[in-house]
Amino acid sequence: MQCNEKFLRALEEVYDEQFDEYMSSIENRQPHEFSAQHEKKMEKLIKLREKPYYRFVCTAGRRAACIIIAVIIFAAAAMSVKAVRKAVFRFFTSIFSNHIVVSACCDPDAETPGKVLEEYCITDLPEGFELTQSGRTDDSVTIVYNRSDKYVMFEQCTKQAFRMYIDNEYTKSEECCAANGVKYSVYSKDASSTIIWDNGTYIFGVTSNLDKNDALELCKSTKLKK
Amino acid sequence: MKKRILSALTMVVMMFACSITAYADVYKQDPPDPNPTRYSYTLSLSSNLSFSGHTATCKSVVRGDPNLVTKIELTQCLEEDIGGGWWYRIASWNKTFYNFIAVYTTTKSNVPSGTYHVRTIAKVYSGSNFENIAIYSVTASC
Repeated sequence: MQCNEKFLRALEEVYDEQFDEYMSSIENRQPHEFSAQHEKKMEKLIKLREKPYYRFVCTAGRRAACIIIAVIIFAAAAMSVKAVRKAVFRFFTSIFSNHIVVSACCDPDAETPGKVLEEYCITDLPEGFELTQSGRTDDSVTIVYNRSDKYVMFEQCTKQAFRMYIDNEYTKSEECCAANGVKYSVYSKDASSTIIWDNGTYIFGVTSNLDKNDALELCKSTKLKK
Repeated sequence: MKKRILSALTMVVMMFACSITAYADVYKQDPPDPNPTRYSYTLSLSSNLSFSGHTATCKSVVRGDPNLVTKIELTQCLEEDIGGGWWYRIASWNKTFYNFIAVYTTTKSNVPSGTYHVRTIAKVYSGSNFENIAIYSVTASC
């Protein structure tokens, strides 16, 4: 109440006759007429507002921004978990904090055997290598050859049964394409390399501490056992 | 204001939902390892299981660093899926390899019908130091 009284007193002090005449002159002016262009724009806007999709059009930008943000959040959430699946060529690679798991992409339309029906082998093994260990199940074969400090491990596996765990600290992965059209996935660390490939029927792997190019030649020499 | 709070909450729930789904997919067989250690001596591992009738053949392959590894102790466990993420061990085998590569094959006959996998536990030694790693084969049924 006190504030109102003070305000009224202040208003009375500044109010004078000149101000009163000025205000009257404003009131007596002709009402404002908007330009034809402005009227046109207003009519257009009013008509648009009456349309049923007006709200949708107005919020299109905001919706697009929400969708983009949602996609970024989903992608970030997926990448933040320990395992991230990605299809690498013919193999799935699950990446964990301390290792990767490589498994084969199984085409549901392609008929691949559930067992190793035909055994393959490396035909161009360098001289001096001897078989030291081997193991077989119905769906996989593993053979290890040694020569002094060098080793070659050959593996054959059905697509459904193939699953390999590989250390991923300082391990490089790359793909090599051979002249025969086969794609080899190479995982190398220090002097060792693991090369895996898919011939359409089985998954093969050659692991060794030979030179990478020599190891690739061994892969290319893999043929059906006679 | 209410709409903003609701949107923010929805975003947070969606983020966690994605994370939990992916995390559950990775550890559905075992409780998650809260402190996974790096492979210090091991380079690669694989495990296979196949059935011929009711005879199971299990194979485990472990490869270590030839410059570091002195011994590999392998334990194979043939386990049956009894549901709810639980696996029941029906047989286990152990062998020690004084080598940096271990290829271990075992068989078990008269296995009851069901879904199984092989759990391979590798204790990879470098001198007196060692690391323990467990991996699983793809499941197979008999």
